[in-house]
Amino acid sequence: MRLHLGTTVPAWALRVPAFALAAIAAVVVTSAPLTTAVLVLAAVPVLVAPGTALPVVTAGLIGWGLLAGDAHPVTATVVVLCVPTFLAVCRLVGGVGWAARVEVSAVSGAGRPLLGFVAIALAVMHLAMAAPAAGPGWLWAGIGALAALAVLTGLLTRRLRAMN
Amino acid sequence: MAGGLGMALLTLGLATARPDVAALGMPLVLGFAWGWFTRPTGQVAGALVPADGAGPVRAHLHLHAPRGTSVVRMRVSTAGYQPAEAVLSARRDRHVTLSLHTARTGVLEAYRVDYVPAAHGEVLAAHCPPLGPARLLVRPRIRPLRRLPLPFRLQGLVGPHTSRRVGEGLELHDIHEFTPGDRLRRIDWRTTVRRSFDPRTGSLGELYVRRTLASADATVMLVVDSRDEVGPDVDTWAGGAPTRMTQATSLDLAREAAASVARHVLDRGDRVGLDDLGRQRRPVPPAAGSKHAERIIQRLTRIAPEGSPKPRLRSPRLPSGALVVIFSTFLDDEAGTVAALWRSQGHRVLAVDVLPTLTTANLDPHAATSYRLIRLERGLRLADLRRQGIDVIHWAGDPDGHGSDLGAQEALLLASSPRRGGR
Repeated sequence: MRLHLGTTVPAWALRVPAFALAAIAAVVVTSAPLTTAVLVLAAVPVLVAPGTALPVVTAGLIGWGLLAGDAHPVTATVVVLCVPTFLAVCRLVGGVGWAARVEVSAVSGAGRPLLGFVAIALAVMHLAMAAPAAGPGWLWAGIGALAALAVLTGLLTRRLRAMN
Repeated sequence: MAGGLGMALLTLGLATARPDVAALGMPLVLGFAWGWFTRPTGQVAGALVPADGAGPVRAHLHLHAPRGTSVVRMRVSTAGYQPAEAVLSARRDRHVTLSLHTARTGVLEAYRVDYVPAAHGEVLAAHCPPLGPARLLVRPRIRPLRRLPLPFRLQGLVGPHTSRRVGEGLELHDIHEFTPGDRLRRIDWRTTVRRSFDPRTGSLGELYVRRTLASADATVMLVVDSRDEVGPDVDTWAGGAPTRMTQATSLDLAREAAASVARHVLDRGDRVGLDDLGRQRRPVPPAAGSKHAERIIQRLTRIAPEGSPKPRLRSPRLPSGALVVIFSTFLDDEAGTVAALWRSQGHRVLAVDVLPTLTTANLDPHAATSYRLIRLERGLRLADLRRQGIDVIHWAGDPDGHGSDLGAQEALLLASSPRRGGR
């Protein structure tokens, strides 16, 4: 049986990179071998059960690992790039099997907004890290809030236009 | 859930003054917000439309997703096939063609489509009622035949064949003295002058006419035995396991053989009718023409076994002088009995054996013994038919050792040869 679709990739070809991203995030987030092993083990559901809540638990564990370690810009950048991406891939291929065909246009459609959000998050993070560390933290929080406000305003405007 | 995690990380990052942790949560929160504000408000409409045409069995799936739908996850299933899954982009109306290759013909229920449209970030996902399965008509393949025997008696006053009767036609029968009733244009003046002109008196005696053989057409009645449908694997005959969709059953072969014979008969200008041995309903009466060909094909496509048919008290009535072609597996006596009855009534009968080439590798010893008995009985039945002057054609060659090395084409050519009674 055949479905005549556009350009497609098999679901396993997305699951494997998603697992790789989760493993990379798990490796960079901590230097303790045992913790790294636990986190990589926790990333296995990204490969075998992306449609469950386990990948979100994996992301939470990586976040916890990030919080437990020191704030390093490179490490944080890698983690902020990897975690939302593997979560998005898990959402995309979660309800289908290994052999399912995934349209490239579906991947790119889901990926475009994600790239924007990750870029905003990285920009805010680097701005906040560059700001004086002695402050109470309100500066970068304000920048983040302003960025979120801008995004939400844009979304609302778009929504209102669509309703017309 | 990812949105909740993002909010937790964002809050934690703010509380602990850790921009990296907050930045990790930010894309998740923004993604959730994006999905929520752009969520679809309408309903997804879907339709499954069967498609015509030769080749693989096709259907078209039309999906209309409202604005805001990001992807549609889809699972298409058909009995006997591995389900196919796909994730489609749903930012516009989608038309997807579904196709499958099958050796089966007839009515096929295929393509049950389960689909889940989802908004960005899985903020909303709707479980829609499934579409299908679609009811598809798979037409039998038509194999071109080179020749087919004619009935013993041709009928009618016009047609593509020359009968043994004297009448209107093209082929010369003899020169005969003019008799009342002969047409004047039939007078052969050369012969008349040569034989009856008297040069002394200058008068004519007897007139002579050219008599021709009458033209006629043939009536062919196709009788399909739809009481059983068996696959090539004998292990499936008891109903424990289904026959693979890539394997033709006996009824598929019967449809193909009957459609091929019908096409050949209609192409040469004769009339053809169709009856079903498994159902006591009105047969398709013999007729000619392209519309009738379509009628025959449609009826053949819809032929299927229906429960346990009652035994017939009388054989189906047939037009006199028709060539009867019966398509059966001859696994029981009924088809052979009616074939013998028609032969005794003076019809020319062709018995087309549509048993597929069998495999017995999966049989246990008890089933193998049963099959051996069935095979022996079938062999006796076919031999009995041959003894009664019925030509037996094996459509699939030699399915179980009772067939012949001849293909169906060669067997039909042999049956059509004049020494076997064909014209």
